[in-house]
Amino acid sequence: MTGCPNQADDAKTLLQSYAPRIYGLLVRLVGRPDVAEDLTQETLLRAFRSLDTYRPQGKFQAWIFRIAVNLARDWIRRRPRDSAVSLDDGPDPAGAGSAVAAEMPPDAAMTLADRAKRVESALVRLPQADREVLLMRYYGDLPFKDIARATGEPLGTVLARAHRALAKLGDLIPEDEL
Amino acid sequence: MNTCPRETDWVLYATGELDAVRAAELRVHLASCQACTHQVASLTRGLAALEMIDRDAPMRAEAMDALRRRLAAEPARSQPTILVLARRWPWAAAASILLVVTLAWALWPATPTVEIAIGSGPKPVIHYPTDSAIQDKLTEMSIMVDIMESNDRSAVPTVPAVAPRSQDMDLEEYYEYLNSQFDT
Repeated sequence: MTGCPNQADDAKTLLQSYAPRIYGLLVRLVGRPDVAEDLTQETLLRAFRSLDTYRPQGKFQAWIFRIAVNLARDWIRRRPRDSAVSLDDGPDPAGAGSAVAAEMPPDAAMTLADRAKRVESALVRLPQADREVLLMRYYGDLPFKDIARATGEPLGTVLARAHRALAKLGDLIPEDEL
Repeated sequence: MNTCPRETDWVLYATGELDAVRAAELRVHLASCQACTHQVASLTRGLAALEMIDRDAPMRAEAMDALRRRLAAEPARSQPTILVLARRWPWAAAASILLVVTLAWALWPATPTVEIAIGSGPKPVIHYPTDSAIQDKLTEMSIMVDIMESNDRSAVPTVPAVAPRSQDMDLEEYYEYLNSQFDT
């Protein structure tokens, strides 16, 4: 697949285009922008090296996200004790809500940006495994049965995690807004 | 009795992962259950909350440059053709492996029979079975299977009654005696 130099260049360009999305996922998974940058590079390099193992019947994006999530899980397992996730203390590394807020009137944009920030904070405070399920579903567009396979947990457990996590995030939005 | 669907069903419902039939069943339930309606609304708000945050996040320019450099340094790579073909046509690959194993089994020389002389005699004599001997044996087995399948007990040869070896009979004599009983 990447044997021809032109094809290899196209593949590299394609993979680079995934960098912001992968970084967005990883920074929310590991909670440290510097680590997320390293893992993003590692994810895309590994994806390039394994392009021949990608099977076209699966979603390409989901395949890359699975590599990213596996790397994040490895890092979380090996991380030093003082590297706990702490996004809510620092600046907003993901530019939460900025794209949507930019198109709105100042007052509404402020409210939306604030709410997005609160969602980010709530997301980071979720238990690691619950957050992982939600991010894999939301970012990777992975169906729950694929998430169960990737995490090695029973489908029922994965769905219970998603239920718990979504209910918590749902509490952040007033009932009359939907 | 609580007849409400499980929480996990509602997650699949809210995220659109249920099949149409089950989703229709849940919709019918929702129409008459306030608790479940409340639960689905909560999940839907959770999904809406996720939509508020941008999926993309810009990496620092230095980090993007480093990524470009590292990717550029990667050589173009390709797999051995046989692996590429095997991945593309897995059933054909499996059938080929099966064929090779079967042929190897069929063409491999049969394990020789070894006759070990009793006592300190000449070296063991090795008898390789001939093709015709194998063919005869297979025919014999095939006939026996036919007989057993037909359940015709009269066609099954009876085993002759043989006497146990007496103390004064040596092993060679006893084998001759056994052979003579089975030959008849």
